[in-house]
Amino acid sequence: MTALGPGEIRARRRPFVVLAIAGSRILSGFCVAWPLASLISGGGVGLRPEGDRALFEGGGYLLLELLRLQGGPLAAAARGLVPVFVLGLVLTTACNAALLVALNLRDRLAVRGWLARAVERVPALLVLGTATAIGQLALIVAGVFAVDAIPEALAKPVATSVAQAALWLLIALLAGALGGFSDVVKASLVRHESRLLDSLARAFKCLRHSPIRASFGWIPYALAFLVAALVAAELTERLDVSRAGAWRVGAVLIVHQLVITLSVAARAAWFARALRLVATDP
Amino acid sequence: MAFPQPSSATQPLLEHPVRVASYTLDAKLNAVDHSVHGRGTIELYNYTEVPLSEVYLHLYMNAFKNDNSLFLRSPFGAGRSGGHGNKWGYIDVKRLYARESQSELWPGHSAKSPGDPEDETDVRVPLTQPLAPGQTLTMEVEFDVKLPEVVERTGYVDDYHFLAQWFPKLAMLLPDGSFAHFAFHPQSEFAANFGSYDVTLDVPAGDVVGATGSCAAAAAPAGRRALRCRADDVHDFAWTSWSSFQERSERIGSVDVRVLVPPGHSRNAELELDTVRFGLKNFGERFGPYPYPTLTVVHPPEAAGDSGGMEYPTLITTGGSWYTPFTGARAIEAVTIHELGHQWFYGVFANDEHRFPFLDEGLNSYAEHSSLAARYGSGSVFSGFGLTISNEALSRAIAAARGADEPIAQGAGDFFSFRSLGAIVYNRTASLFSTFERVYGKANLDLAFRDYAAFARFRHPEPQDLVAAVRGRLGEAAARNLERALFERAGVDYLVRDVQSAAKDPRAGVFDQASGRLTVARSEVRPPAHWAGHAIVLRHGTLELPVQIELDFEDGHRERRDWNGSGSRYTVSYEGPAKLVGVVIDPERRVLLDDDLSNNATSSEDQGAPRSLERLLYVTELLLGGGLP
Repeated sequence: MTALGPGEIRARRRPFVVLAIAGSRILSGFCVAWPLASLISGGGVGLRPEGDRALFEGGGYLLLELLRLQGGPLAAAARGLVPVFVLGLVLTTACNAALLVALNLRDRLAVRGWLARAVERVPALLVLGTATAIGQLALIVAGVFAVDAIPEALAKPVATSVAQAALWLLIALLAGALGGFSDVVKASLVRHESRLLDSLARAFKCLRHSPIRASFGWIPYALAFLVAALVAAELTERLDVSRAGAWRVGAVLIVHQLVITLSVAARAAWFARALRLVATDP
Repeated sequence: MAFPQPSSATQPLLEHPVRVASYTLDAKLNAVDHSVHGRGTIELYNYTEVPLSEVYLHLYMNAFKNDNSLFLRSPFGAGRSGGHGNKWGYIDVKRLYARESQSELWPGHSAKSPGDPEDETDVRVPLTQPLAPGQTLTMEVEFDVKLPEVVERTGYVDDYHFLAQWFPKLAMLLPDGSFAHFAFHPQSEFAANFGSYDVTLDVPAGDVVGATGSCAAAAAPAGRRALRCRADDVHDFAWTSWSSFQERSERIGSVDVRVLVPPGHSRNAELELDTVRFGLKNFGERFGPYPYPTLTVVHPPEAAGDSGGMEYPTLITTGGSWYTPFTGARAIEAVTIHELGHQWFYGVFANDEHRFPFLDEGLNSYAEHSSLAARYGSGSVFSGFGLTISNEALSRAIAAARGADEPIAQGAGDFFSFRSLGAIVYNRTASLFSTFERVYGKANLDLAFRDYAAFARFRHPEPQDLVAAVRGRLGEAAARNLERALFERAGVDYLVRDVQSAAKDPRAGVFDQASGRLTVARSEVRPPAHWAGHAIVLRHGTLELPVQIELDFEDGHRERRDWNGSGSRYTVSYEGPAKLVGVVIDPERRVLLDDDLSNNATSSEDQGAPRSLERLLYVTELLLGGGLP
């Protein structure tokens, strides 16, 4: 299998991979959502003539009642589903590896060879992902302490809030930059088929060369996703599943899955960019 | 359902109360050491038919004097303010002198609260000469107050000062000649007689002052500012002084409204003013006109938030961040309308808050919820993501979580925790009256409240006054329900227990008829055209509230039946062309007191939870996508 030249790496070359990954996301999402939905249904909602439409009625009487009566069991069930969720995260990591491999290759994908290459990269990606998450968590914890240390000026509440918000923005940018850099390392891992430390070294070279692109190159794609999510939220509100009609649920499902697909596509576009970045690394 | 129609007109409103406890005070704030020096006179008019040989003074600032006070030794988290405070606060009475008998009274006072050798907030002062019925005792008083850092709605933070429960205050004189006196309990609020207040405040020159009553500038030495504030027909006096307050004012009807907010809170000021505009009209129409010429709304700075969310005559405090209005939550509107409502339920209808807190906090929570519902509909707490949450629904859920753990009508200190008091006094009372509004009709309940308001205005109402008003307008059954709910921990839970539906048409088999024996093969049976059956609906609990029952049929049509709620079981029988597939009790959500809404409906088929599944799937997918970088 041969790698694409830097100028040829494009997410649009792999639409079916994007769709497949979105499909896998539905599958793993379903594994977590189904038990919780079953619990909700069994809590009395399923036996109402109008079904769980009642949970979305104006005022939220039955939604609050569900939380009151089923909140404990739902929380316990959610805790029990943590291992399933973690497996889902591992699957997401594998999907990211598969996506990077697919974006990097020129040839038509042979499933076995493609997935084998992806699976080879999963352990390194997991280590990298975990380290990145720990780093981001450390940044947030530091942010909590730093924000707490800002003196509260009694007569200048806006200035205090602005200072706190600015600090949080800085923390968010640093955490985002860490995530972006981590993606560049992933791209390097796949592009150069190197070990993690070598990939880190290459990614640092990219960071020195193109600090903005290596740290914040993901921002346009994240913004595209954000806009899609907001539009979906508005559409969901208008579709109003508190009213009768299975088509409303179907329509909302389609809207939401389009958002998920777009999020995978946005990730693919950013990965392609990261691959180009590490491919052109001097 | 038919309920008694309004018949008699509400009695005319009282224009003024009997003025029993009046104060003329000078108070000088030392903003550097956070203290106040006060002096003046306290007048007590003996309106009873009994000579008085003693008086009780509440020295509530002593609640923050040491860890032995009833307030501070109580398990914390149980209190309203949620904290101990960081600096001690106390009041030293220097002198108490009876002008008529020309005698010093303070040397004879008991230093500790009756029955509590540690507490110094409830002090008995024997009179050297009995105060005869119809006579007035004038006591000259001098005192020093050291303020705590803001705790339980009083104190200071930096140069911000809020003064509540700051002067020696007479306990409420009852008609039998005794006093409703009590040590400052962390779960309790207050009680006092009506009177006139004439208070001159001396503060640093740059301070903006908010106070009970109408204030006018008075002569002050250089570097100081003095205001003389007068209020008639009130039963407390609170004030605040801070150099950084920004002011908005507007005349709303006949009331001069001032809103004091910290810098940067202009949006909150607008919201609060707008809410007051709505509330004065709404409450005025329902509970009688606001009787005072002024209203001051104080929004404390965030660092002094514990002084917010409280009511005093003609002065209320709100609270919240400057950005709260931009979050979509209606917290500013809710706290403003709630505290404004207290101008009636506590202010004008001056119940003993210690003995029956539901009469102020509970009824006021109902007033708050119903007015917010009138203004914001089902999204009175939150609206977004395709969901709306109302105050009434939230309150119902909180009340149902505590069920009927304790009676609503009991003393503040009798509740086993403030959480219990909050759930039962605030939320269960509000849900009780929201239920009455929906079950017996809003117009009828409004009339009952108008009667109650007419009776209670400028008086000190008791629970039975409320029951009488409800009996008069909603009838005996409603009054009985009210009494059970208030005094007997009564509750209700409606549930569907059994649904049966069977075809009545001839089916397969051998039938003996007049014309002979008829055998119908299974293959010949046509779909049934006539069905019969029943639904069994049960009522648990002792509240007998009328309720509707909706029957859902296979062909899509629905029928409603009324059950007056009497008896513990109701059998809904039917015959018709379609199969009964579902039953819903209380489809319009009228009985908010229903302890469990999850058992109110049933259907022949499990409908699953497709909407919940879809939403959970989406959220999980988002988390999985963003969970690992």
